[in-house]
Amino acid sequence: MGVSDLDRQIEQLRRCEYIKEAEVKALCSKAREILVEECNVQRVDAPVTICGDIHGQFYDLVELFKVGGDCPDTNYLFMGDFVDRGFYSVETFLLLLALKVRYPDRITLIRGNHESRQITQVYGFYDECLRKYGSVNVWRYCTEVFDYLALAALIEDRIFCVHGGLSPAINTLDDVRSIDRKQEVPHEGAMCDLMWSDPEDLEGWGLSPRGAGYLFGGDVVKGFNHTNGIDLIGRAHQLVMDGYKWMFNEALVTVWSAPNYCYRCGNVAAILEFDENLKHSFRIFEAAPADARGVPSRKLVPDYFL
Amino acid sequence: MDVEEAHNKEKFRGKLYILSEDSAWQEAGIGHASVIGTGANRRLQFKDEDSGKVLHDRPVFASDVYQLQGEGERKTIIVWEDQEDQKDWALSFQDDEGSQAIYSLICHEPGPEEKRLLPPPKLTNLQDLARRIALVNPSQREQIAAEMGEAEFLAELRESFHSAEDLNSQKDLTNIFQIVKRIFLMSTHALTERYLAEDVYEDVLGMLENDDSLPLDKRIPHRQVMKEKVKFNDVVSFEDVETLKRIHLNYRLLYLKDIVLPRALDDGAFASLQQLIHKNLAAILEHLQKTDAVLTRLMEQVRQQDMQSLLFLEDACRLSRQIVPEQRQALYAKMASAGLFDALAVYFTGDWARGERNTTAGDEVGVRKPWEHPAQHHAVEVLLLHATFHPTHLRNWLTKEKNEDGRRVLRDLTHMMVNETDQGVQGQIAEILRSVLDPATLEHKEQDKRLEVFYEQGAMDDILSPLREKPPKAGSPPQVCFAQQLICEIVAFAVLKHGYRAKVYVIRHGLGQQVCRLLSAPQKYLQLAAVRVLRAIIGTKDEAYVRYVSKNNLLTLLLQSFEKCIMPPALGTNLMASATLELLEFIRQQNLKVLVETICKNHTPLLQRYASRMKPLELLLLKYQQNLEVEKYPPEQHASGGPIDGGGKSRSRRMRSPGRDDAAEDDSYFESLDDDEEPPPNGKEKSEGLPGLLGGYADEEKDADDSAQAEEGSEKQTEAGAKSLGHVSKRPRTVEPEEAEKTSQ
Repeated sequence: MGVSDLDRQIEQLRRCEYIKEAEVKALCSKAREILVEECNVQRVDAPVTICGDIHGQFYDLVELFKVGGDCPDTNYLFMGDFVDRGFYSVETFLLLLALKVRYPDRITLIRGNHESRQITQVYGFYDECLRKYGSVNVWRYCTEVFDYLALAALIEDRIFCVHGGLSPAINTLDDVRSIDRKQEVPHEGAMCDLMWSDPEDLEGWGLSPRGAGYLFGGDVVKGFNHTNGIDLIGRAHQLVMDGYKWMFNEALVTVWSAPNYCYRCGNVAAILEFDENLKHSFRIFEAAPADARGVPSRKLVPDYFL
Repeated sequence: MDVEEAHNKEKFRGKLYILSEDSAWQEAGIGHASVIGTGANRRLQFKDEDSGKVLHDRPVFASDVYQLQGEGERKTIIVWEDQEDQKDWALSFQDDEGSQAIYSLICHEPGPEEKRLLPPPKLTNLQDLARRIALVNPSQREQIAAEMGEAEFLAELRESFHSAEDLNSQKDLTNIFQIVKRIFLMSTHALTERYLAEDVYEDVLGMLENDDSLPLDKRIPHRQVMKEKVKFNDVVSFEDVETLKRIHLNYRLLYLKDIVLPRALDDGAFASLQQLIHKNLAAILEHLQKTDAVLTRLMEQVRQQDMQSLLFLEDACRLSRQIVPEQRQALYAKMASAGLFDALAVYFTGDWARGERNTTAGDEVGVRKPWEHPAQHHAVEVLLLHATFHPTHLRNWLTKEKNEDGRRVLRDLTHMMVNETDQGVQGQIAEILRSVLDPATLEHKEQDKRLEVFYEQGAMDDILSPLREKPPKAGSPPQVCFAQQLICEIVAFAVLKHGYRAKVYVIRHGLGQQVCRLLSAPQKYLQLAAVRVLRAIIGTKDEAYVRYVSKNNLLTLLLQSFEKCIMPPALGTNLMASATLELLEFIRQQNLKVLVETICKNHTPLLQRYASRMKPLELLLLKYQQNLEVEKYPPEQHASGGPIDGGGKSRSRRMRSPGRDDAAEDDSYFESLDDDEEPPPNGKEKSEGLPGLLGGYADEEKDADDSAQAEEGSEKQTEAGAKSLGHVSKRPRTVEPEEAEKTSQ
């Protein structure tokens, strides 16, 4: 797969057109080669822009790139949950993956709780692949890639980014580094918690209402940041109406990048930019206007038996 | 008095009677009846027609007190007993219009005329109607839904829609869209189904074309789409009108949910629609399950290689993922007994096994429709669905004695897993094989019989044979490389699930050595696959396995490739390094002494060089030192102050206890397995040699059990743990963690 093929595919995907199944296969195989070399806690240099959940809202991702600058002009770190719920999970994930393969040092993708075989069978990505490609092959290629995605990222040794949050099984970044991440998201344990936990105003640890991961308090965050010499935890995973939310005296920030989530929540989205000196600024954006959005429905299944 | 009022007055004209003591009706006056007041304060009044004098004025009692009587259809008399003075009264009206009106005023509270919340839709009131429906008070919800479901309302709405379309009045069409959208947002199953029923759905979809949140050019002509693009595939005749109706209705419900209103539906309406669709689906699939004739015909058509029938079957199996497990099980069982697997066998002709299949076709595939995929792939998907949910039928069929079809399919699948260029299909087959091999769904006795086919009759040799070939090179075809990964996953699965049986097999065939050759493959993901097999083997903490790993220097190979991953120019720790670190951490935490020693003795420089960068390496060296000290100064020789190491105590005691003949016997058995020469390259020869060797293994297993019992607790648990894995199903939790997300996100 040459650079020109890849550039053509990126152009196609930017227009929200699907690429051939054989191209998906080659792309996923190339992506796997790149991702297998990444660390569980992938090191990222500033300047970088960090983004939260996208959830298949393709046209809003296009909006995000308009606001934040195109890849590779801007460096990006996406904190997972690329797929499910929205109507364009296939195009969204493949575009991000194609950019990753084309500009591996410019864009970092880490895994969210939706990058999982089990979850995508319930929340739409599986059905979408089936509908768009006539078989589950593409879903299988993509879920195989999910297993290789990094679990977290570390910006300039100062900012720790993860999809969900912390785990009682993890004290140091070295603990994260010695997880064998090449597996389906487990139902418990360190890897599960990184993708499922949420911060909460409490002391210590609490049970999560989600049924996976934990709730963790400000003291936990303070301890973790101190132990590992970091200033800030960046994470996604929870809808926040203003697109971002600080907690625990700015020791943790939630970033959410799916505007008008599920096409009806009415929230705005945000991305968080860090310059070379790690000075931060948020950029807020709204859902793409209807006329830019294409026909906003799931794809029609024209034939039916049952 | 105008004409209308005069008519009304005439309508209520009648005679009042009272029942006398001798049970005869006596006339009590001629005049007009009326009901005054509202609610509980209503009174039934009768006034003399000449004087206007009130002849009767009593409270209205409970509705069952009053009876409407008369001849045939003409019920002009109301009879009742006064609940307070127990007198019987009757009112005889001039015509039944009056008696009906008074009767309903008495019996219904309040009368239906006053009760209506919505006016019937007219072009003139659409805006008002849309507004009222948008702001429904929760207490009136049910009634509003009922009114909108009435034939009259629906007829008037359609009438208005036709007029608005004729007039091309966008304003009215938009209002109608808003009204209909709200109707579906009411989340009332009966109402939703009524509006999508056969007789009206076209009009209703037409109304939904005018979504004003979309620019004109982005709106979808639903009626046209339904008519021209959507096709129902009539594969088997259901011969049941109700089921057929339900199938069509369910498609329209899906269309509404996914195409028409996906952005308008709130969580409640979405869930309600989803629930309705599931309910219908369950009914349709139940009909399929209960109608033998349909299933038999379907299987026959599948056997005739009719693509549409195969797609129908696949769809039915796929959709049944959504119904309750008991019902799905019943359907799958019915399919199996209707000859599902025999029918699917025609799609596996054995040409994969004979190497006659062209394997380069897959590189050009674009975006395919379901029927553009090879029929065989659909057959694989059906097998996978069965294997995933209820593997028993498929397993029994594949391993049944004298079932040549079953063996042929198994062989074909095995070869497809290696050579198929659709890697998705390769993965599906690996999953089928794992499900069939999963002892969690097998009784113990049954286990031996079924697994025999794999371990003793050559099926496992077939599956694993690619491991014996040269490891992939940089340019090896991707499907060949991917197959190696899948096979490694099967080995790891077998080690985890098949306890003793797998142990014999792995050690006897030197699978560990074969797998570890992948550690030098150029593909990192294959190196990783090998680490995961080692992790499964070491994860059993089984002594024979541990000795096997140590004796064959399997960890040396691992650490060599680990070093390549972490030394410059490599940066940081890649996935391969993480997996290795995880394995080393496990060995340290469990203090598998033999392995701790092997690693630390043979790789001191490596560990020391990177210990400062990687904590697990430093800790491992430390553990080794502690073990050495414990060895030198066993803690029980010190009253206090000995080297601190709780984990090592029991093991060190064991190592010093002599004369353990039973264990020694067990050990030597595995040593002897391991000492065997490399397996002969010809798989057939080997599988012939195997039963002889394994013939004695049932007894050996018993011995192993006994010896395990003689050992101390931790060891026993290991052995028992490995065995019981076969029975204790380690299925994923059924709790769907995501459910909670709805509320929190």
